[in-house]
Amino acid sequence: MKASLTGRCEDLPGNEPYYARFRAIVQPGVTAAAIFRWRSPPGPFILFAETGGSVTRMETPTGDQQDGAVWAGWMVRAQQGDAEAYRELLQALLGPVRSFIQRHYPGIRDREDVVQDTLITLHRIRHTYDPARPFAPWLFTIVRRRCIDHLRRSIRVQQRELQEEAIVALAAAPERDPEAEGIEVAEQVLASLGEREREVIRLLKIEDLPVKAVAAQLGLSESNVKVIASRGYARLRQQWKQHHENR
Amino acid sequence: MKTDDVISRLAAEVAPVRRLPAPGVQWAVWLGISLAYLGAFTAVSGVRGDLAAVVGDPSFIGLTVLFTVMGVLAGYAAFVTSVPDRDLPAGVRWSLLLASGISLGWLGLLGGTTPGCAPGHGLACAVHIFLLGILPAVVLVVALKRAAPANLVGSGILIGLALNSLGAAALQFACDNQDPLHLLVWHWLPGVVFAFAGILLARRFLRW
Repeated sequence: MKASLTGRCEDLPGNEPYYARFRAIVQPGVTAAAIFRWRSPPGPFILFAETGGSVTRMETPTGDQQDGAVWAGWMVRAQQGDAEAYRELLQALLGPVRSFIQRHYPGIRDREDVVQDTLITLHRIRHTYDPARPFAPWLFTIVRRRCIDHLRRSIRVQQRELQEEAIVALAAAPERDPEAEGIEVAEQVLASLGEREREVIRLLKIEDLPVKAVAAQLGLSESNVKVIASRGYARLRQQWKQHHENR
Repeated sequence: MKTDDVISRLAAEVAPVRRLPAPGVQWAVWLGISLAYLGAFTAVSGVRGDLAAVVGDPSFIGLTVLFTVMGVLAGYAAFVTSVPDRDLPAGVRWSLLLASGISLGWLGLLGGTTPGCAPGHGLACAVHIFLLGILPAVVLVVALKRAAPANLVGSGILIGLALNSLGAAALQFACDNQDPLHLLVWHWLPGVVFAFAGILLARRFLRW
């Protein structure tokens, strides 16, 4: 017996208001009856067959199938413009949609935003639901789509925020004159050299004197001047590198 | 806004909707429009002079059938996958891959032994394919816009493939160059370009 029988649906007198009874004549002398919860969450429902005076409990669909069958029924009515059925459907879907997101996409922080987005999407494309097909796969494809979109959007927003933070930090930093800073650093680095090395480099690079003249002025041999200069350059390079690494 | 308010607002707005026709029905309508257009276009622009001679040629028949199968299946696959819970049937997927693979392999193997053609003539063929395939592609996009394809990249590729394959199938009746290298470079490979264009188009117009 399938759960998609159509027939009259009525409230059960004297029972809880959210239980309803469904009846349909499936063949002469046999009536199928289903009792199911009408309010959310929908189902489970129990199917009976009444023949003459005897009532037989029949094989019933699984919980998911029951839910899907009830949701599908509401959706069909919603497609026909039934606002009450549509409201029931959307209310009934809240729980399953929330738990689906929590289970499959635990990284989503604004879960309720995704739930609302899903409901709005469902509203916009409700004409794509085909009653001949199960409802749940259709619904959860939409939920999955919205979750993926939400995660992508979150990543984009995070990246933009990081960029903005970097820009703000740069703007907040005190303004520096690169040329003045360079001179200051060069002076610091030169000061770290020995007196002779500093003098050799000053004469060679700032006074622009030839090695021969520097050697004569300082009373050193030319090869000695070259060795001192080379040692000084190496120390300068090392100091400069350290300075940049420490910035 | 609270979720209950959203539900109230949506329930208040609900109105009867016209259900999306079954993918097979949409595909049949699309195919009818496309074939009518391709036939009319080919009739107006003229057929190749040697058509009577090549119409019985196995390579001509084979390639025309392969292009047609690719175009028809690409359209069908696009319609089937345009509904959120629908997957492409394995038979359709494999037939599509097989037709594409056979045509590519066939032209690729034969194309290595032939001189090809002048780029100017080839470019004219690619433009011709575009003009032939553009209407089926536009009709496909318009139809898919009413649906909700879950895989936009896949839908884009299928749109590009349908455009190129139907255009190339119709061009078989107009282009008299049967050189395999020409067919490979200027009739088959533009499908790759159209597939990329299709992806961009799908991302722009088919988002839901």
